Amino acid sequence: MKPDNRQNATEEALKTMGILDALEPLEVRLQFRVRLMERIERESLTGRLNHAGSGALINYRFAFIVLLIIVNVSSALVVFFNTTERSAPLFSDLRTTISDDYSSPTFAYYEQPAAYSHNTETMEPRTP
Amino acid sequence: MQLTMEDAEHTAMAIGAATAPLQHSAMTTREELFRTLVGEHQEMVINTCYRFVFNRQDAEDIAQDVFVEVFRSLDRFREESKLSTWIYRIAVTKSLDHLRRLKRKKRFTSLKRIIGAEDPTLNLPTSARDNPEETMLEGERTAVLQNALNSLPDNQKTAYLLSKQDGHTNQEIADIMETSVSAVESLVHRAKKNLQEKLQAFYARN
Repeated sequence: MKPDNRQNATEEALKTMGILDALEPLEVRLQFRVRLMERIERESLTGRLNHAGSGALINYRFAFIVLLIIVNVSSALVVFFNTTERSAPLFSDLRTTISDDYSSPTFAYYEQPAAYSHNTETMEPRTP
Repeated sequence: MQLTMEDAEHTAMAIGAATAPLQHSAMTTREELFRTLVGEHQEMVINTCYRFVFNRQDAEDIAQDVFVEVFRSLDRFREESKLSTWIYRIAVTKSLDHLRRLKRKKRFTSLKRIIGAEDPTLNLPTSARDNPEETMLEGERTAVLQNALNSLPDNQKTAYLLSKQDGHTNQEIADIMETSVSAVESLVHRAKKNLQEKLQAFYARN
């Protein structure tokens, strides 16, 4: 940084800091106290002044957190039950599926039906 | 002698009539005390807040919040410190809270400022000058100062701003900040040094 630039920067910095020293104090406007007493009266009527400010805020925050937890848990339960219903097959479907699987030629032990297999109409043993 | 319901009612009403003026009187006394407090401290409170926020409207709003809090908590004031110290401590806390809220808000409104949707002169301090150009330059310089102050740690900022305000001795600042006089002096010294460095760096870049 050039010396001139640094000196300028210092001067500007000091000038800026001088604003605080030159800041004129504010005069209090008449409406300030009127507005304040109106607000005190209003809040006294609504009962807000009965609670310490931070205490009431903590109560509201706590209530909000509890509400959020309830909503989240409920949503999770709804999603869980919906998922369980879709993924759990009916027993009859399960039985059909299994019987279909095991009736395929892959699982057949014999190419021809066994000799002792019965004709259900005549009830006579089949000849091989 | 048996008391009838009517007798009981009359007795209750009599008690109520006797105590109502006392209750009213207690409330009136509290309100009167509060009005006295406001009268004595409103100027200092508003100007303390003004040092932090550089905006009259905001300073008045914060001062309102301060006095509402004082009214709420007056019964719980334990006289561990002077009443004025307690009031100014609330003023400092509320002012710092306001600045934190503004900082959070700034992240979202910076875009508005870029696109010109926000009036840049909205938060400039009032100036008695009629020259708009000077007012604008002064406003820019004030904004630079405000940014630099807000980048300081809270304790340095508080000590420095209170030290710049007439009416607060180092002992009073120490009482408000619940620290020692030597700690206040150290904080003011560090704040001044940091502020100057930040402003120098800013003006060297710009």
